[in-house]
Amino acid sequence: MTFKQSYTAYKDLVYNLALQYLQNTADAEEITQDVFLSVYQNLSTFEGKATLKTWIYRITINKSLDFIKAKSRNKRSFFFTSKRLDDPDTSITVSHFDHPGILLEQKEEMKSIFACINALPERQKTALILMKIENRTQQEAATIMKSTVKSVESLYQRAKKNLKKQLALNEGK
Amino acid sequence: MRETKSIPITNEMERLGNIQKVTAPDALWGKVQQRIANQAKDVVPMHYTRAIAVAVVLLFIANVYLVANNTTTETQSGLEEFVPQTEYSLYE
Repeated sequence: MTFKQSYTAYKDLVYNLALQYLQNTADAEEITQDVFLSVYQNLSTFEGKATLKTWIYRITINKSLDFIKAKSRNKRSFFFTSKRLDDPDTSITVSHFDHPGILLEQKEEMKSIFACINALPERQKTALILMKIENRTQQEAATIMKSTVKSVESLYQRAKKNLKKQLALNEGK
Repeated sequence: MRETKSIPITNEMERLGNIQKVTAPDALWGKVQQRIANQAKDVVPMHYTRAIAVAVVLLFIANVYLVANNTTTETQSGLEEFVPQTEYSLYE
């Protein structure tokens, strides 16, 4: 499969998956570019141990999680800088919630659900996104996450439990 | 005992399952191509890197060789002949 063909086949998959992690179109576009740049660089060395689709899934997940980490690091350092400078006008910038797959009337509700999902540990979040939003089977999720079906099921159940807890906390506020 | 509020998690889970799939913007392909082109410009060709690595190794070997063959100790330099030092005690 050529690079152009793989782009055409998987661009929507990458873009949508990035959107589930970042809930912002600009960030998802950046991740999509990063993913395909990485695919372009490594396509010739791709060993075919996994399918191209699984490989692209993994790259997207890793890039999205790295992006979130980098963003929170930047936010922290910005916070410390602003504290040190004692500038009351500076505030932490948070990506605007902009998910085109969500209906406008559900936007506020989904925003709070995603805030709870974002608070989950990385692997629980990935299991939830793959199985619930991306509709992958347990076996597919396990292959993508390089894990067993049992472990992925356990991660998914814990994610649901923690999400419920978090939603209850938010309701109480 | 504190009563916990029952939250209908099934509703939230159903909503998550109903998120629509969207298509990636058409302009993305152009941006990806641009990033690839920019990166190709920045990359130093492999033969340049190899040539520089070989040069550094050769310089290092030459340096070791020269240092090993031109070692001059104090005794070999003959400095003692010009400045004979017989008294070493500083404080008496």
